[in-house]
Amino acid sequence: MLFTQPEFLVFFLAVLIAARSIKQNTWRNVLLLVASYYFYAYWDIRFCGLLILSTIVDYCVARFLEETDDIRKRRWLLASSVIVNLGVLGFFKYFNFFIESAALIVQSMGLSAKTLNIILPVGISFYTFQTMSYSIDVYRRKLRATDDLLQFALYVSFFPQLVAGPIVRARELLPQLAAIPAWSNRRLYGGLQQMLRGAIKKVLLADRLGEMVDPVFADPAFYSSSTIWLAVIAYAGQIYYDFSGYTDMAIGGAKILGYRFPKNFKHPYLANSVSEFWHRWHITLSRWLRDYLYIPLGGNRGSTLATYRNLIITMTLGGLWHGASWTFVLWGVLHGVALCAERLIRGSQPSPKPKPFYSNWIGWGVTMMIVLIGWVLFRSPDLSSAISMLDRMFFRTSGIQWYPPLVIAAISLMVLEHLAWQSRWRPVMRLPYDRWYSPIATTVMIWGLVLYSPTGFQPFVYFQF
Amino acid sequence: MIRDAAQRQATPLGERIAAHRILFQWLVGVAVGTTLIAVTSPLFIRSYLPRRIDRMRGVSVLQPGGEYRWRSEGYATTSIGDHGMAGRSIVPEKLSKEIRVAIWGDSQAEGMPVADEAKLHRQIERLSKDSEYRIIALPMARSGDDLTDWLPQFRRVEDELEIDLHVLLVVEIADLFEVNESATGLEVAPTNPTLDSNSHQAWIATSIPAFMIHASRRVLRTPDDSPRTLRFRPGWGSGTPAMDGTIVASTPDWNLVMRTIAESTDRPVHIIYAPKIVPSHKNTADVVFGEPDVEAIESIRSIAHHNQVSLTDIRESLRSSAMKNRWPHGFHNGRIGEGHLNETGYQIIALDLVRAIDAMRVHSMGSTAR
Repeated sequence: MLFTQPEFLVFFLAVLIAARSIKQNTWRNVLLLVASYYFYAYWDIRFCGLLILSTIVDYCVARFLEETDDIRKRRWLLASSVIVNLGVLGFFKYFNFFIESAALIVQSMGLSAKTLNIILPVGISFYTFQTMSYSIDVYRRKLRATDDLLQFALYVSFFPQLVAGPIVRARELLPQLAAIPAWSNRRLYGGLQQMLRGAIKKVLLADRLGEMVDPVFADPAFYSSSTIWLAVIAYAGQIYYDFSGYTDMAIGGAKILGYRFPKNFKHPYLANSVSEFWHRWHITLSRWLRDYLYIPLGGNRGSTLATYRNLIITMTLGGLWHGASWTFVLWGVLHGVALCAERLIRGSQPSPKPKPFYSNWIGWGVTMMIVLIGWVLFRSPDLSSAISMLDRMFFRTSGIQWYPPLVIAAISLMVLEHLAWQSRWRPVMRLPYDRWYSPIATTVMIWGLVLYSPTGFQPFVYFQF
Repeated sequence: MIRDAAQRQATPLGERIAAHRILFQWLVGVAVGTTLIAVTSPLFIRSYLPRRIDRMRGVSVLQPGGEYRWRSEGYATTSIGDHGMAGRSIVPEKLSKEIRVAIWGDSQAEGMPVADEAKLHRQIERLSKDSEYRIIALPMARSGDDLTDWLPQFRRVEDELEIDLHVLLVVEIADLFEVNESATGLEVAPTNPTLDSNSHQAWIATSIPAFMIHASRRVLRTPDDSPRTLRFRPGWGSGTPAMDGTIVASTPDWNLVMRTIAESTDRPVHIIYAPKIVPSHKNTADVVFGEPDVEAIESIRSIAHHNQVSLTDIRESLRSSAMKNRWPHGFHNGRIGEGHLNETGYQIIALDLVRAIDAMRVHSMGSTAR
C-alpha cells in the first residue's frame, strides 16, 4: 500500500479513528501492530514471516544481553543477531548479485553458475537495520532491553516507517510507545500539512521529473549532451522529492497518530561540501552508518590513512546497502573518495583564515558536480549505461534535443523552493493555521494533487532498496 | 486547532471571536483557492464538450460549433464542425476534379493535440493543391474507435457526403482485430443512445466547470478510464509494487477482416499503417516498432490486395524521419516517440496518402479504383 494510493487514505483514517477511540495503551499498541502487519501484508503476506523472525530474534537477543555480563556470551549473542539479520538481507538482496559476480570468474574456468528467482521483500533493508541497531545499542549498554514484546514488535513494524524509513532508533520510538500520546489539534494540523507537502513533492514534482528521467536513462545514446544534463538534474530532483516526500508523509502520519520521528532531510542540494551533503541527505542512514560502522571501524581516531580507509569502507557499504549492483558500489566509492579528498584539502590548510565570499559558491559547485555524477551511477541500470551517460554529458554533444516544459517548470520550482527555504519565507512555507495565506495554499495544493498529478502508477524510488 | 488558537485569548468572548475569525478565514481561503484554480485551469486542463447523436453517421459526436481544448502532450484548440468533424467547420460543395476522402481512425487520426492547421486533413489538402485532382479530406475519426465503429458508417456517409475513397489510419493493428460479418450491417445503433444533447452527460459537460469534471474523473476512474476500484485484501506473490497490464491479443482471420472491409462499401478503401515508434536499443541510436514485423505486414498487405483493399506501411518513412531527429509521435512536453501523432507525423502520412491516391487513380465518385 503506497501512501499516495486512495486505499491508504481509507486505511489511515480507519486506524486514526480506532486509535483515537481506544483509551488503553496496550490495546492501542495491539491495534497499531495489527494495522502495521496488514499494511505490510498488503504487498505480500508471506514476507510477514521475515518481519516476525527479525522481531523475535532481536527481542530474545536483547533480553539475553540484558541478563548476562559474560563478555564472550554477549559477543556471541550480538553475532547471532547480526548473522540472522544480515543473512536474511544478504539472501534476499545480494544472493544473485554475488552469484552473478562470481559467475564472471568461474565462467573463465569453464564452469557455470545459476541465479535464483528471488523477490526482494519491501522495506527489508530498513527494518533489519533498525532491529540490528537495537541489539547493538543493548550490547553497548546504551539502551535497556525492553521486556514488552508488543512494544518492540510495534517498534520494528510501525507502518509509517516500515518500508522506507526514516530509520528510527529504538531509544527514539520505544519510550513513545509506553503511553498513549496526548491528543493535540495543532499536531494534527501539522501532521496533515506535512503529509500534504509530502504528497505534493512525490506526485507533482518527483513523478513529473521522472517522465523525462526514465526514457533518457533507458537510452542515453539518443540524446544530446544538454538533454542528458537536464535529465540528470531532473533525476537529482526526482530522487530527492520522491524520498523526502515519502519521508514527509511518514513523519506526518506518525505525527497525526501522536509519535515523533527524526528528520531525514535538510535540503541537501544547499550543501557546500560532500560531508555537509551527508549531514542533510538521508540523515537517519548517515548516522546509522556513522554509529554502527564508521566509528566501530576506528572512525577518525587512528592515522590519516586509516581514517580514509574507514571513510571509503563505510561509504562503499552504504552504496551497497542501496542495491545489489556495481553501480551502487561505485556510487559509494565516489562519495568515499570525495569525503577523503575534502579532508585532505581541509587538513592541508595552515590556519582557519576567513574564507573569501566565493568559496561557498565554489564548494557548492564542486559538491553538486560530484553529487550529479554520483546520481548518474546511482540511476543507471548498469555500468555501460552509466559510462554512456557520462560520455555524452562531457564529450559528445549531438543527439536529440529534448527539453520538456513541464520538467523545466518542475526544476524551476525545485530551485525556488530551495531559495525560499533559505530566506525569510521559510516560516511561511510551514503554512501556520492562523495565517490568511494557509487556507488558500492548502486548497490550491489539494486541487493541484487531484488535477495535475501525472497519470499512472509510480512506486516510490526507495521501495526498491 | 481552532480551540488552540482560542486558548490564547483571555476571555470566553475573545476565545469565541478568535475561533470564528479562523473559521471564517478558512472558508474564505478555500473559496479563494478554488477560484484561483478555476481561473488558471484552462491553461492546463482539457475541456469537456457535450456529445450529440449525428443522425447521418448514426453515432455520437462532439457538439458541432464547439471548441475542444487539448492539454496534455501538445496544447491545441480544435473547432468541431458538421458531423463532429475535428478541425473542419463545414463540408464544402463538391466541385469537379475533386476527390473526397473520408479519414477514419481513433484519436491518432482525430488529431486533437495539434492545431487545426496542422491536422491531417489540412495537410492532405495543402499537398494536393497542385495535383490534377484536388483532395478534400473529411475527418471522421473519433477517439477510441476501431474497425467495428468505422465500417457501419461507410455507407451512411458516402452518399450524403459524396465520398470517393475511405482511408483507415491504423496505428495499432489491434484496431482491425474485432470484426464479424454483421459489421457491415446498414443499420447503425448509436454507440450510446443516451449521449444526445439532452442527456445527463451533456448537462454535466455544459454546466459544470471543466476542472471539476476533470477532478471527479481522476478520483472515480483509472487512467484507462475504467471505474476505480479499491483493493484491501493482502497481496500474494509481489515483493515490490509493480503493475504490468500486457494484453496479448490473438491474430485474427485477415482474410475475413479484409473481405468485411471490402464488402462494407462500393468505394475504394485504403489503409495506412503508421504504428508508434519508440527509441530503443541500448547504446545504439536506433528506433523500433513494437507491432508486427515486416513479414507479417507484407502478408496482411497481400491479403488486403487480394480483397481489393490497398494498404501502405509507412514505417520506414516514420523511422527515417525519427533518425533525422524529426519525431512523428509525441511532443516536446510529452515523451519523444510515444503518444499521439504530431505535425511531423501528419506530414509524413499526408504525403504518403497523396502519392497513394495518385497511384490508385481514384476518380471522382470512385469510378475506377475497384
